[in-house]
Amino acid sequence: MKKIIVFLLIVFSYSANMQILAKHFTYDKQKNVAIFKGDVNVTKESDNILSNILFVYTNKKNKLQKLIAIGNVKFRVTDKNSTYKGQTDKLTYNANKEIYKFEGHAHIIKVQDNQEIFGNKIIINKKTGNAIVDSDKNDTAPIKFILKVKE
Amino acid sequence: MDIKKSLLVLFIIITITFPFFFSPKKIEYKESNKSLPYIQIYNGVFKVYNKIIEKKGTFSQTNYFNKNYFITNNLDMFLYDKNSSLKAKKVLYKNQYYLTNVIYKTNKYKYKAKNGIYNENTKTFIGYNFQFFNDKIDGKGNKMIYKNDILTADNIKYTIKGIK
Repeated sequence: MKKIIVFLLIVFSYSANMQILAKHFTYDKQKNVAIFKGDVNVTKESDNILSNILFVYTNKKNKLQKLIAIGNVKFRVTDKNSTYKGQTDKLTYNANKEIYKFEGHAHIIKVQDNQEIFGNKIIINKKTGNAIVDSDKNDTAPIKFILKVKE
Repeated sequence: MDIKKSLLVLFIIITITFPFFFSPKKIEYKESNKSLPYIQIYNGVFKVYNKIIEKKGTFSQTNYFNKNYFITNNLDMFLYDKNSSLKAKKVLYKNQYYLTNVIYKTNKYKYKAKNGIYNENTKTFIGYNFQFFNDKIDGKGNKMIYKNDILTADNIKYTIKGIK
């Protein structure tokens, strides 16, 4: 019994709550999607996402699957070692793979060393800490990195 | 007083109290009408059953002002078609249910509201000062509407629990 309690304590100590504030909320039971509109503010520990609209997808067991934030998205997210902040048109978070995808006019600043990334499609893997900057085939917008080097 | 008079007095007393000895302990009133299902009032408990909704409740007071208007306490309803239930401390029924301290339970969420309205025909539940929750989700706000499996709410504080 003691082992079970200790195990549960360990499990809960590694999980956190995600809090979402919004002016308007709709939940569709059939599609398992919650839609938040108006001054949406998502907080999970030190992570924070602000947007106009947010879609939250859960599975039948109420487990979080995916977050999609759209419209004037501002964020501050952390992975293993780094903290990223910035803005984009659309942010997608895949909860199973722990991957952030930033699409459309993405501008990300790595807080620790002030590196800046501009692109139309940026993917950050929260587990590994890897960042992939990509552009669409039809997209002519350049990818831009700004590395600040200490003199 | 002679024996005849004594016997007469005794006979009168027995005659007056006789119905109390043989009347049923449980007093039952029955009432039915076209718009509402069969209603039974029975020693502070009422039951309504029409295979769509089962209503029951113990109450301290129930008043029928007319056939479509009643007040009761501790309502307990089970809605067969949606597999959901509704409980409330105080209820006024007039075409729809006006509820206080209400708990509305579906297979997805349990809703609690300080005040609420439930419409049987449209199957709509409106909750004020509400909270809905299950093992993973917790939502709070001022006003919510649940209709056709779609929940809408204003100024919500929504928490997803236990995310890694």
